[in-house]
Amino acid sequence: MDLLQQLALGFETALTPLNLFYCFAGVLIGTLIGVLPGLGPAPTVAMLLPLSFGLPPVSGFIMLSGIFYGAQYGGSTTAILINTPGESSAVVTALEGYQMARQGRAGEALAMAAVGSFIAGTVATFIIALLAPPLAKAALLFGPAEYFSLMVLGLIAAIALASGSVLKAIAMAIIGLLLGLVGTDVTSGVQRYTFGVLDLYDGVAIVALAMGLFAVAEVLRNLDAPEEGHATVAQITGLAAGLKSLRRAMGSILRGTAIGSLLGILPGGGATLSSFASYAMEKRLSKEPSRFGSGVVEGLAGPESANNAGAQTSFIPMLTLGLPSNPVMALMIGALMIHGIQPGPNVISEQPALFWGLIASMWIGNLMLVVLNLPLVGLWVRLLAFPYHLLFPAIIVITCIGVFSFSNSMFDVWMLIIFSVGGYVLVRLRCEPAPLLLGFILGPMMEEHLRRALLLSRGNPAVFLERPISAVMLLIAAILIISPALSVIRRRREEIFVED
Amino acid sequence: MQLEKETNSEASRPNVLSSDVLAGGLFVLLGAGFLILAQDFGFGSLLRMGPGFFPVILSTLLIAIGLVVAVRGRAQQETLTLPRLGPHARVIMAMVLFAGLMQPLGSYLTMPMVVLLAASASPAFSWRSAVALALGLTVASDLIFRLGLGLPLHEFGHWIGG
Repeated sequence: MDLLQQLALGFETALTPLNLFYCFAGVLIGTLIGVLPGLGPAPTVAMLLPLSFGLPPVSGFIMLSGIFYGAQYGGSTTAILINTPGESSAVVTALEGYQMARQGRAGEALAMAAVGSFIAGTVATFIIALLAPPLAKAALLFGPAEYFSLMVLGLIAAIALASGSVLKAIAMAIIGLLLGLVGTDVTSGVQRYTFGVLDLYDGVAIVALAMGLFAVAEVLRNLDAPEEGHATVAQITGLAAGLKSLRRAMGSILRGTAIGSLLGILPGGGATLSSFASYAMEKRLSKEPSRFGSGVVEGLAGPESANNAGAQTSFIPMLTLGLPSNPVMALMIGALMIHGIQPGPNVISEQPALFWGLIASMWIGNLMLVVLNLPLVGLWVRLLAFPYHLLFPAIIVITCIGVFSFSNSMFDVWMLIIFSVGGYVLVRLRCEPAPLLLGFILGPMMEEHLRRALLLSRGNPAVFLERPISAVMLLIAAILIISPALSVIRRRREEIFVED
Repeated sequence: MQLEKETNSEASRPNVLSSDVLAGGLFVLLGAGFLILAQDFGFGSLLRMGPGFFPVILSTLLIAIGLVVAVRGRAQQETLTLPRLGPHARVIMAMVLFAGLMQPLGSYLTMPMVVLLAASASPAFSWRSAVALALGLTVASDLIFRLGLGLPLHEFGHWIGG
């Protein structure tokens, strides 16, 4: 089958009334929840995962993806209008976007974000269609050594982009890896760190960990500063003005799309790394870098396109290698496995309707996002005026129900409480939770591939350097962590964070 | 961030409890805990990694990093200010109520309690809006999660004959 035929199959799948409906429902619900302050894509997807269980796999997956980019987009709206980034990739959006909103250019900023995201989403969709099949074929050549090195690379990339101390980020990743080992060891059947508790035999529930570390810990952190800065909603004017300055920002949109598509493919990359890299690039290319931070269109359009492209292409490692590059993708893998589909190189050949239907629905979903958001901007703003002191109890309740619903287990809710407290303590100690979660996701897979690689090499650890692909990935990881380029990125990150 | 830079000279001596010292200490404690428990797993060899192999290596690494972070953190010029933890405790208690009472008491009675307790953590708390929110969330979650999604969240639990 050539590409056109495959895309035709994709659109055929995605354009059935049923799948169109689920795509729309996903995008709508995702935006609705993602627009709430403090709820990024990961908790939104985690909360709504059970919605997909009763559906056929393709429909369920199309809806989950819609929820994902709807939430991603909704987070940008919140970041622009009230300066509360729901997750790390929206931090950059808030920098220029909120400044624009304060100057009465909220409509322009929102229009720019919508159009930029749409262009980025379109390009990224085609990149997935072009790159995923050959990558999946290449992935069939991967042995355990290559998988292990790739995961090391992903972890190092996540560490390199964490803010603050590299050492603390490494420590967080290690804690995550260790937490990932809790449960029954698949090879020996030995119970590790379960303390004889039956509920822990299958390991720690990822939803409890993710929601505790991100959603609840964020609520607790907001309670540190009791005054409510959330209520000030900037005026929205000049939606049309946005389309005018579009020509000026087109270069930034395209550059952001390129950076995002590229970095999203890296395990551990995705939306956050993309938006930071794009912001740094726009600042460097700008004729007046000193104006950045005061509402520059390029500084909004670039990162906003980059994070959408990165979010989209992060589907590539998930669909071709079965490797989740961020918490959302880990949840997606969970969803696929509940439907009896093992993510990996064989998904494309064994489930062509699912794969190509998903790709087609991504583009349709992006189109829906634009159509939905441009006219509805006014409504989103009214939703945001919902006071925080009423919003956070709702977040707490929904989080508890969401975690409970994952496996109908109250034990997971108790775990959620423990991780919430732990997550809050870590935030107070200035440790970033993102590397921990990635370590948790990768932990069991890394151990398994390490074990197999060593078994195949008769216990010779040099195998990771003798196999060329593996050696190259380890080399890149080493460069990432020691090169001066890293210190440049870090400095830029600190510049970015200076204002708060 | 609530971390305040020390300005007066008296307090600018290296602070024993900077965030890095605490973080490093936490890493060491966690690492030690994981390491001690891993002793029973069986280390194996490079050729045949036992269940203890990966945990032992990781927790040793964690302890080492924790020590470095803690030692370097002693030079840090900051103190941790502890916020009032009352509101945080209320939110946590609300979640404990949810976990403890949802099944024995049922959602119709538990949900309002959870919402009211959590809402009371905010300084902007008012009975009127909180009660309205509690009712709204109880009804909405019942409709969406129990009726819509079929979650086993019973209206009344076994304590009261549900």
